[in-house]
Amino acid sequence: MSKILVLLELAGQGADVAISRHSLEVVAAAQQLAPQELHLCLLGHGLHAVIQKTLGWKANRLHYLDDPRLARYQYEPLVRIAQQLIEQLHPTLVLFPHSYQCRDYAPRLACRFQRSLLSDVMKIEDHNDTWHLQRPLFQARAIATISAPQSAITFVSLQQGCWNSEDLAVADAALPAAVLPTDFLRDEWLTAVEEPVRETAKNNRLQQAKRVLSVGRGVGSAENVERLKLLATQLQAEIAASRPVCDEGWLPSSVQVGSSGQTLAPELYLAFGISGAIQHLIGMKGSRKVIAINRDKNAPIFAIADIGVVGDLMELANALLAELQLGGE
Amino acid sequence: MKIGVLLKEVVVCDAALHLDADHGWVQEKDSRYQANPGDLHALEVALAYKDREDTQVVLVSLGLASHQQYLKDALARGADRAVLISHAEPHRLEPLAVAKELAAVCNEEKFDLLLAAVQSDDRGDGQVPLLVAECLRLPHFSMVVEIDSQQPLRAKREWESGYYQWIKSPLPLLMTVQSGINKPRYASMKGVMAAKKKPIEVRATSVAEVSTYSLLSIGLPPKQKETRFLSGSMREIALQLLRELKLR
Repeated sequence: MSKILVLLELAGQGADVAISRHSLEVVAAAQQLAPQELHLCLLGHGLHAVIQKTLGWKANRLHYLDDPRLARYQYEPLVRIAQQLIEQLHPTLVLFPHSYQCRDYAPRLACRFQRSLLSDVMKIEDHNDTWHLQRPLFQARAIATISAPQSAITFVSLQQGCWNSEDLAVADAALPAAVLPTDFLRDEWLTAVEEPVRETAKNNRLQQAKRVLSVGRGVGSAENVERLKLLATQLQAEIAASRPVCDEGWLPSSVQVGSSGQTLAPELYLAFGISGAIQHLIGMKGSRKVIAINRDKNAPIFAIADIGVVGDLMELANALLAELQLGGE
Repeated sequence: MKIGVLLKEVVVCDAALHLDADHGWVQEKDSRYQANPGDLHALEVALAYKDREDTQVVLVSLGLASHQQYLKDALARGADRAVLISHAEPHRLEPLAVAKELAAVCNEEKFDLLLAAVQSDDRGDGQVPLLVAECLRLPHFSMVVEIDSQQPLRAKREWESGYYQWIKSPLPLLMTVQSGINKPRYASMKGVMAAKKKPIEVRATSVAEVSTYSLLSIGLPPKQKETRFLSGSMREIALQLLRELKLR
């Protein structure tokens, strides 16, 4: 029978520290698998309020460590402490939110058990003696279904937004909690980390926009971006972009949509030449209506688009500008 | 300094994919191939070191022995030599199996610095470089967007929601770099000529295969919304869109 361990992740700083919403989704996913035992692990500092909240959840045990040496995330202590916990618990499944943090330490942890991490998983089902999992391939243009035996340990990170954090079940009785040993904590590791700094704040103008015109790699040049900025103004939309456009320096990173940038939910999202890599979709899939133009009719952006145009984005932009009587071809 | 760059060939992803359900991958004959775009940013970091100081840049890859153009291109850009671990079905290997093969080569080469992309465009497992680091017991920095070249090495990594963090570590070290870190150079004519004399050592796999899970099927992603595709001339489409936006 299955024992599942969920490695929770913290979000926010200082007094605002809380368990990340993505972690709540993972707990909900684990509960739905109805394991024999569900164990949670939480590592960090200043966790008193966070722990109190967690104790209301439906699970079997919380394993935690609240120590100043864990105040800043670093992969080295997390790998070591989680390794020790897994060696004691023998879970059949270890779940993570597929976050930047997970991507930084979960592969190394899995490696210590001679396993790879099954990453970015969108669906997981219990088929008695095997897990059936789905994960994207080719930047979400295809989906692979994979089976993993339950006789051995499996490490899985779950994609954000595939489960609902509101499905997390609470319990009447408080969850038993156990403090993890501090034996593996050290003052210094090979890597030394500084305090994380927020350089790109929330872009309020973009956050509040009802219409967003977002530009992807397909735009091709800085000149074309200028043309789309003009179109955005005419369409009463704010301009935004996917990562490659900001990497090129065609638009500032303050308008980058996706996991490393802004998360938006406007009434209308116009995707111009955006293929729809998952990192981008995370930042815009809450949009009420999506209109997408892309040359490839199989581009993943069309999986979440209400209205689609298959064709050249600049041709469409110029046709729109011409109709808006601003010239164009 | 001796730098290893982990390089991988991927299917070009911006055109329609031709899936081959029987083999759980794409149809080889209908697909175009290139170096994983992120890997070229890792290569550029290495070449920038080489511009400044005495540096040897070695490419380490696992893939089809019959596909070597991406390695020739990388040599033309300025890398010194390549080691290609030949495998007939690289897509069938689990990330840890790939990492063990790469780690075996890196262990012999004794690099000061290993560079790689954050993830590949095809499988997107996002972990082979970190597994290599773990196999070699090397520290790592992931998702690096800027490097401070002083010793011990200091770099800036990216976090979610606009957060960044500086990390430092002594060498040897492995780093995965984000695409925004630099603009990869192109090969010069001179580079292309020079690459003809640069060696690509093809060798067999050397580690027992890891096999812990199996691929059941591969398919197209399910539609989450029913998309209404607009048709007609671009002008007609533009008019339909403007009506949709209530601007007509």
